[in-house]
Amino acid sequence: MTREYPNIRGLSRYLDVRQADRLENMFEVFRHETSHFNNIGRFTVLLWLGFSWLFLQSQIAGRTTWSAPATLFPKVNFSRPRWGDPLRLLIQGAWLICIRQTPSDTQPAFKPPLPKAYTPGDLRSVHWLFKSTALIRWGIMRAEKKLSLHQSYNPASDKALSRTQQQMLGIIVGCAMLLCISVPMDYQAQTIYVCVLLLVAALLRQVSGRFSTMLLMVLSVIVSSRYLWWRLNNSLNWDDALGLFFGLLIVAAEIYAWIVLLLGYFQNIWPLRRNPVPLPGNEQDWPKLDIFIPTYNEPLDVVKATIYACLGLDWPRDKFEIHLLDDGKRDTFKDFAKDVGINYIRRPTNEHAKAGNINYALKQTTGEYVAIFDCDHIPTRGFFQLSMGWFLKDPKLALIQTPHHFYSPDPFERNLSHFHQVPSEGTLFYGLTQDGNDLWNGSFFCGSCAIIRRIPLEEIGGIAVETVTEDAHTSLRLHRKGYNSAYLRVPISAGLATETLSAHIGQRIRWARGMTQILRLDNPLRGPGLKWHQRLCYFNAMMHFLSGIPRLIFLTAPLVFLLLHTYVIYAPAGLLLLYVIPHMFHSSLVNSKVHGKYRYSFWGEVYETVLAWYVARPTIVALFAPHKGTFNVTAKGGRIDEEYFDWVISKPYLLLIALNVLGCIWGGFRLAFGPETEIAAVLVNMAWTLYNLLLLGAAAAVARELKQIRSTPRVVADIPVSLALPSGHRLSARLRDFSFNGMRIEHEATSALEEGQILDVIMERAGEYFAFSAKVMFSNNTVAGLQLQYLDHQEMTRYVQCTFARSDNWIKSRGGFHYDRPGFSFKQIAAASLRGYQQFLEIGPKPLPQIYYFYQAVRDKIYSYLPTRIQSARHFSN
Amino acid sequence: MKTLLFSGCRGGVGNSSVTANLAATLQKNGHQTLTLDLNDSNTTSLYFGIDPRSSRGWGQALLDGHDFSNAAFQSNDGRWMLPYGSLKLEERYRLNAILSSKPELLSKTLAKLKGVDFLIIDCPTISTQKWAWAEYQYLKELFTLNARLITTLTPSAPDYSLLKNHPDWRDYSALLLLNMQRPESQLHHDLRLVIQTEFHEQILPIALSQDITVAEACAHLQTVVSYAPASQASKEFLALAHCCENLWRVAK
Repeated sequence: MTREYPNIRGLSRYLDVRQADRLENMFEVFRHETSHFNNIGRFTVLLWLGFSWLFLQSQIAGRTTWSAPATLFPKVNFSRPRWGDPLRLLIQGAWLICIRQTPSDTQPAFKPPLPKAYTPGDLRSVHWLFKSTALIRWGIMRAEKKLSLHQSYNPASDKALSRTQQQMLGIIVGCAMLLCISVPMDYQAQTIYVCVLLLVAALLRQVSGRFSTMLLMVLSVIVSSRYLWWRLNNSLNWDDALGLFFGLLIVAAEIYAWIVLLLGYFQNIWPLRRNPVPLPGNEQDWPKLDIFIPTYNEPLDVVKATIYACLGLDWPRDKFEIHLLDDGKRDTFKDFAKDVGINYIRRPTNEHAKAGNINYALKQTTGEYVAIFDCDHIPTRGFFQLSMGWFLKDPKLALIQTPHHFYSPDPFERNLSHFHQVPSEGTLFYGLTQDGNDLWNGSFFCGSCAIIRRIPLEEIGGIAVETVTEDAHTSLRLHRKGYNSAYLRVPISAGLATETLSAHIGQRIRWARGMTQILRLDNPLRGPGLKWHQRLCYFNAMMHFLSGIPRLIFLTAPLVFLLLHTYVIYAPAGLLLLYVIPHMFHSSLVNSKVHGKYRYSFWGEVYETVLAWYVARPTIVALFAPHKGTFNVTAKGGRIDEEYFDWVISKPYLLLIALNVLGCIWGGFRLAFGPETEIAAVLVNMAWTLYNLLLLGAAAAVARELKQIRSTPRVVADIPVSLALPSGHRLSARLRDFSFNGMRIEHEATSALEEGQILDVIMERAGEYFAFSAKVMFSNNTVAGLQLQYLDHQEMTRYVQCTFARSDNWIKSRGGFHYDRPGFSFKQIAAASLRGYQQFLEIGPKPLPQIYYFYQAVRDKIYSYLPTRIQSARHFSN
Repeated sequence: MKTLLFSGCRGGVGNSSVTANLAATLQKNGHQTLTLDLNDSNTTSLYFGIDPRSSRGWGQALLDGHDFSNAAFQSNDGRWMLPYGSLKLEERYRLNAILSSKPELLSKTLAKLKGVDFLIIDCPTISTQKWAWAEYQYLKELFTLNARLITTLTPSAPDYSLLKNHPDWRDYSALLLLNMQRPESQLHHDLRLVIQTEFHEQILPIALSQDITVAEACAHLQTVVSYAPASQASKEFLALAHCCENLWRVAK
């Protein structure tokens, strides 16, 4: 076979094969990856090769001569010379002459590590400062260790001090705090004060454990309160009506943020890490349960998985009954329920949505406990064995809630492509907040994956129907009756996350509206039966959903100054920074330490920004007219066929982006042409605007809906299986992912599986083996996609047990997050934000894409002239 | 040197194949193995690529009064193998006579072997009841070699009945190894559960499944680990080898 010579083309006719091959390979070195030679390029390269062959040594300074231009001028494409190339050659040449080159892909010389200096807080240190900080650190950690020796230390029930002693201590501490907060200071004093606190915080940050976190919280409370005190007293412009109006708005938003901050500290001060309690050995003593699976409009396939998982639960089969509560009144559901032998409940009416559905079913059933699973939440086999123990231990316990774990990406995770890399929005609530609530006996019902004792539930008249968040309201009523609740932070069920951003927002609107309704109709701060800490826990949950308006205020606040020339914060910029920076630094330090694995820095702001506009209106409406509004169901389990930008949902962000960009540009003008006295204030406000733009860009990035190809999301796994081929061979393989109707496996066999053949996948579960017949849909070297063949109900139950309902499934997938790194997190958000703007420009209305492409072209052009470091010579062999 | 005695609960349960494949797997894990075939049928040598018609073997060596090391074969991966050797009927009688008169001869000769980590012996089946006979005393003498007896069986009714009715294997505190099981079959599943519950102290945690690869490997005069490393059988032998490496630790 003769070789083709695309580079030298016709030249090959005059050469023999070896020479032609050699020349072709030499030409290849001068070619850039994506381009091909044109005639000018051929001529140029040939000229150079001839010149170097005739006049130059084959090697100069140990390097091949003929390939030197390609190495030394990586940005010049010799195969297709351009008009700019002489200039490029000049620039790069000058740079090569002036700057010594170390090829970028050679290994850097080994540098011995610097001798390790003592770190602040090193016990070996002889320096008194280092030594003393180390001693402080050590002391704090030792004190905490001593306390945690009592396995389940609970500060809520600590009786070390008597009541009067507590009150005395409270008064003393309160007075001291007030002093720290309110004493007015001049520039110098405030600077020193702030620096000392920052230093202490920096030291405490290194100390692991909860005590240091508590101390940091105290510092943060002092600093933030001091900031707010100063804002109220010294920074409002009482003479300017417009300025005062906006100033008060911002202060109100800041007061809101301060309250939420304080409540958050209170809530997370000592998360109770509850462990499962073992059940009695005799199964006869285990209580009888009813499982409710309410459904309304979800597809049958989604519900099937849950039902099969429930059928396979490790609980004596005569001790639980499964009820499918179908509000959609569908006969396919009825038939399916009959087929698998579960109870089907259909009510004549449809009032009160899910709550009404459950209440109707309550009257039809008798079990001692009621477990509620949303139809897309799949419990693992051990669900009841792990959770029921607490009911038997504590007779006043009315509710056990377990986390909602999602095995599919939510819109944030999908559209920003960080599934399993950044903790999702719910991780903070289920990983930390509920555990924090649990300490104060204030963990609340979340609608699914929970068990409720029937007697208390009937005592309060069933699930609450007055609000659209029936779950939290129900647990509030249980608490009012003096019952306890518990939160068990074990991922023993998993479900589907919401599909699209619009669905996600719809769900949050419902929550926000419902929580505000509760605040109005059954205010946790008033009314009988609650302890003060429970009141605060509920109040915080409700406050959290009121964040819409304050967030909008923060997103627009700097514009008032930049565009309207009104001093909303009537204070010198320097003094403002002296107060506001410590406030922000301390609070983000504490939150970073407390939230750790559960929420990365700045992500909370992104989540809030996305929701702000949409949550603002319904919460206000619910605040003034709590009975208005309807229940909207969250849609799940669909597919997004095409990538699209959700223009409708992103309208408010686009408006805010436009305003902020305008503010930034106007700020630039003011810097250039405005009075010099304003420059500091303009700079501060512009920095604030830029930060807002960052958040808004990330929000715009989420609105770009990426494709979701499969209608049933796949769960990533790593489970050993074996494949029984029809030929009698057995292959060992690993299950890489699975869904309700298929799986992907990886094997090590040298030949690929035959497409279209039917084989048995054998999975192990607790010493038992089960075979599932499947068809090979695609197959390449070591990976194969299988589709399950028809399986009967018993086999499906086993399949779900071997896959979705494995007890260890979700534990592995959630442990993967490292601790928060604020800088890294900021970088991530900045990257997401830039991507958001880029996408927005690319698909925006008419002039934007053109402007963007023009900018890109100009940028690339300029970049192509910049000098670059040379790579070591590309390898060439004869 | 650790010694593993493999004895099928009856013929046809795949005892030789387990012996040979386990030896290959242990060798792959870095142990020097020596496989010894005590059965006059002389079939284990097939797995080592040795001509079963060859008379070379420990039987001939013993008859001639030679050293065992002359009779051993070594495969290319380093496994040592001592076949029984293809002997005439009259030679077998003589050999049996020698062994029954000097039952400790075999074990003492084996004890002198140097550089072997695992001695794996393919023994006569339980069902022949040879273990109990006086002239097969030499089998019992093998226990002086730091040995564990493993009885292979399949999940089937006859094997279960054999285990129940021939309690010989219990006298030697034998362990049980399930072979040729089809995990997905309901019958095998049930029988395995019965055997597991009834002999829960003796049963090994590893069970080998039925796989045509094992037979194929033998037909290619190879073992499973080299013939089809990606097969389920190969993975199971790896697990079994790991289990056998730790048998003595558990016994302590």
